[in-house]
Amino acid sequence: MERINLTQANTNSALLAKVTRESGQDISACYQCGKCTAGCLMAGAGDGGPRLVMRLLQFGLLDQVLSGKAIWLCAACGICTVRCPREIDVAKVMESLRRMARQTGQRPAEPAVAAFEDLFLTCVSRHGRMHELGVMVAHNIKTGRPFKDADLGQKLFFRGKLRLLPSRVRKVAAVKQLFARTGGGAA
Amino acid sequence: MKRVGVFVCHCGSNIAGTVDCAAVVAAARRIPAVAYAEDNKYTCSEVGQEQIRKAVQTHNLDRVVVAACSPRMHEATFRKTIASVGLNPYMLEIANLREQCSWVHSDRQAATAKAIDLVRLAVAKVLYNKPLFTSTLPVKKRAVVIGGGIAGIQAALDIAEAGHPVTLIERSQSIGGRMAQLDKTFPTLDCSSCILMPRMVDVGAHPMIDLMTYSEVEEVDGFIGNFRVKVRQRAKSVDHSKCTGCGECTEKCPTQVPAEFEAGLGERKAIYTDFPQAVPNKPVIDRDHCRYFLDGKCGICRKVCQADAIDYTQTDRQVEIEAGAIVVATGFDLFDPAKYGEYGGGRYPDVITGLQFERLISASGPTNGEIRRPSDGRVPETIAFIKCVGSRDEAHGVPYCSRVCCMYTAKQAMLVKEHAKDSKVYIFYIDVRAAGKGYEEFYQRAQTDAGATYVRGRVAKIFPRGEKLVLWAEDTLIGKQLELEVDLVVLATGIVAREGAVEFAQKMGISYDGHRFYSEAHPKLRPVDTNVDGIFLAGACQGPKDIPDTVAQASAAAVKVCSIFSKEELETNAMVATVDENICAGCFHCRAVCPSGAIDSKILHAWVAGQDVTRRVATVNSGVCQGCGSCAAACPSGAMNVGGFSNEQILGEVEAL
Amino acid sequence: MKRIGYYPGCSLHATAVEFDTSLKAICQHFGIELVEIADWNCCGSSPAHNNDGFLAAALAGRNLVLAAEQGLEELVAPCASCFSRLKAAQHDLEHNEAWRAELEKRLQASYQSGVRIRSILDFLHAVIGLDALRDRIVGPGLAGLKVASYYGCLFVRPQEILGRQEQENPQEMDMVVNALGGQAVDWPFKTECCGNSLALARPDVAQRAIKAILDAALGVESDCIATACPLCHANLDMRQGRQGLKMSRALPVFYITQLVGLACGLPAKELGVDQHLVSTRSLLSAANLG
Repeated sequence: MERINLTQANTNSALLAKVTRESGQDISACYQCGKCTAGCLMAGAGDGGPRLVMRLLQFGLLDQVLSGKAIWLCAACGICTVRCPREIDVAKVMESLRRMARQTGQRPAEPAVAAFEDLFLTCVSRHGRMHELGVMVAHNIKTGRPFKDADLGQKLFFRGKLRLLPSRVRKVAAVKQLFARTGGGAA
Repeated sequence: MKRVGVFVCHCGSNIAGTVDCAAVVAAARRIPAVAYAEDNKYTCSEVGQEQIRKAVQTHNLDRVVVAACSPRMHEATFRKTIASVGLNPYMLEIANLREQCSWVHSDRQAATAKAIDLVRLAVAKVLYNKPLFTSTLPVKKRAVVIGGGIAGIQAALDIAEAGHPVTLIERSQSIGGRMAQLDKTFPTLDCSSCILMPRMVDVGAHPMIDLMTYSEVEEVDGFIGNFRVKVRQRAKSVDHSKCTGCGECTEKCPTQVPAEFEAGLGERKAIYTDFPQAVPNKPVIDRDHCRYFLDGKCGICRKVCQADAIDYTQTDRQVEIEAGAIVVATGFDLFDPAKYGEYGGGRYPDVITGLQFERLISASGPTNGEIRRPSDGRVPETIAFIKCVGSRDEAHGVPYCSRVCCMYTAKQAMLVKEHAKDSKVYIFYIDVRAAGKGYEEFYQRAQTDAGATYVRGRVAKIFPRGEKLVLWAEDTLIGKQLELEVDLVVLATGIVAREGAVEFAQKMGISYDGHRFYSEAHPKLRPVDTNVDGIFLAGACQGPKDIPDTVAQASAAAVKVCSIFSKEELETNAMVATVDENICAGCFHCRAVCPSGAIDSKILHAWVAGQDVTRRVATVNSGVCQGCGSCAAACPSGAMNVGGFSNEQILGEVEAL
Repeated sequence: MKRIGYYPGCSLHATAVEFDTSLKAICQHFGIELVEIADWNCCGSSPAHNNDGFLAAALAGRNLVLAAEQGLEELVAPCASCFSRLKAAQHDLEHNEAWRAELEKRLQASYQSGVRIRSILDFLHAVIGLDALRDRIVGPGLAGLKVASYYGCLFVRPQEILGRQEQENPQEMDMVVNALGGQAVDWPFKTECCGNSLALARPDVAQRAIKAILDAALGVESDCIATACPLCHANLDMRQGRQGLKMSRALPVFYITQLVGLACGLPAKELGVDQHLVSTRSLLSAANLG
């Protein structure tokens, strides 16, 4: 077991303040009951659930959170938020952390998840709409699993559920306009 | 020539840490009417008070300003100080330099400037102070205790034992309250009934206690020493002077109703006592469920009653009680776990509350003390207890800790060992709070002796799987998700204020907090007083409490009552409203806004041009008036003035600003 | 004929084509004209808001601008994700003036507040109405069919945008099922997450969630699951029987609009019930439907 050096931990206070600002949530309000993780259907697959993320944030160990898997495996379903006894919007914290992780430019701990989001947005910026087949094929190639779910694709095709060509927005330039960076910011 | 003395208190560093007290004294000395000013480390100390006494005498002061903490804290102290050297105690004003200045500011310069302003205001005001005098009123030496749980029982017995008559008013059929529903008590595991029932019997038999059950307080007015309490005695439909309590009627009654006492797990009849050891042990008829009252048929109870005690024609009775003091001991409700959708929201019969579990293990309960699942009557092999249900949960319940759940859960785990020794117990907790005498040791025994497994984590979800219930939690100590199949889940539901607590507080004129618990007058120094003199609090109506704390508070309230009764007469408040009858137009806006009902009307006669002309004006009952000033604010003609806050005094302050 | 705006979203033109066709079929049946927002674009779904708050509000917001320009006062967004994003964008744009101004600048158009956005459940309740559904049932409707209503997360969350509502045991879809003559079963996994788009990026992770939901639906002996979200449908339908998701029996998954159509006697073909991966045939023939 690696010993965490708490003396050195609270070095990221500016970044930590950013989590609070971005998410609008008070991280220190968490009393670590674990109800969020207890009911999370994704947490079991990662390196700890939302409770652990909150704990690491309380210690100021932001780097560890941003380089971890938990923030990528969150499906944003929000059940943690509605069950949190301290009324912390845990899902919003996870969303903010994901945005921050992207801004660090480091390789995400769950490249497949990040790649899906990237491809999705690339597709939307190009066509104005999501082209499921295109994104799935590109994702398979990018993650080095060209035949993942290929059988599914075939079945879907025969049931008339796959479009071979993307459907396009007429004024796609207008949609492209929306993609120029604003510098993020919370809703 | 008016001569004001100003005394500026450092309050250690509380004030002096932020306010330059010497500068305040210097500024005070420059005010023309100030004959003397000084600062002290602690003005409230004996030394500080002696300084005031000396200064009054040496400098011939006729009024005093103390610049210190809130008047709520020490106004009475300093009134006594100046009275001891011959000044009228109301020739005093307090400038609050602590709560209203040093504690809320950090800029020393600005705070000092503000402190100087506050002192100038107080000086301007005290210049218009007039001597005020109290009068006395006789004390009615009877106490009314509202609520017949252990708090009310204890308070009533203590007051009665001191020789004063008590009327104990209880809403349900019997006294006993929540404690009567419990099986055993922590941390001694003594039987709740065994220690409570003798007290109940004492209440029933005590010559000084007038017990009114099945009764509710409708209205309270009056004031300390002279309250009038209106009580509605609901029709019992049974003449208790004839009834022998044989129980034949209850036995033969054909109507089954869910029993309040069994917390939904058992049934009672329509003619019933709350439980077999009820006091009084004579039944009442629940008219909402009785067949005779619903459709005129039945009448079996009357047929079987040999004492001819059944009386369907009884009506509710209004009784008025005059009392000198009141103890409020109205108890608590338990949090309703139906708000937890993730725990089934009340849909799963084998998810029960802590109170229901008490009934399950009680020998007099619906299962005769055997732990059996409500759904199928099976003895559970595995039981999970979930703590903090409703407590410490802003999303579903209340933010506070209910104080008793950690201990009652530990107790219930111990009792599982007694009643179903092969059952395995898991307890899900967030923190364990065992801060009473012998409590920590008891909690440890729940683990070592009873073998309960404590799991640190709030359960996220309960759902059925076949005949079992599945719990999802995280063991936060190892950071792993857990799944556990159990047969019975007990939710340690927290303590919340009684339904209707607010309406009741409004009837009494007492204040309550954001969670609807009744507020004590001071959180540390006046824990059983309310904001209304002569009304005291006992038990969980004031906040979550266990039995020992409740009993202690009840005895404390009793002593407070007795101390009132130790006097023949009580001094009234001197800072009351007065009417200038010359300008009063008789509009009675004042009466409409008076929260104490202190304003009456009277008729003035005057001879005008040889004729008797009458005129109605307002008059203030100085014994009832609390000096709140609402009337003075509402009076359009300026006829109302409150002693200590006269229009002159207020305008003096305004001018000084 | 009642007229209502229609935001299909990307899925209803592809993997959820039967949601689109069944909705159109029942609208025709109930005399409701769906007016598709011309030149609509993708709502951005979760990838947008995981990346950039403004982008998420702007992508969904453009559709609200178009709807207002086209004179649509209310619109139905059948896909739960689209519904949620449109509502969130509306909330953000009406609370964040800077974003609204930025969007208007980029689109060279003005944003009109107050377009009423309806989920498919809201649509069934408020636009068609439960009484109208009961009136138009053919024969016994869904009688005998035990349906597990699966809401997923996006109909009830986030609460700050959708308002406080029952989080663990909602009833809106159950009420529709019951109105159609079916039997909505009480089950405890109505609003648990199906894994969302993790099913595409990390199928192994989503599979745990999908399994929990399917197991629960099987546990209460339901005949089928009703959904109102393309992603939920895809996850529950397409992944059945795959590795780690071997089932004791297949559990057909319907869109709620398909169930409405079936109960009203519309031909199965028009409702796309043969387009699922889990066959619905034996169940429907046993229930004399379609």
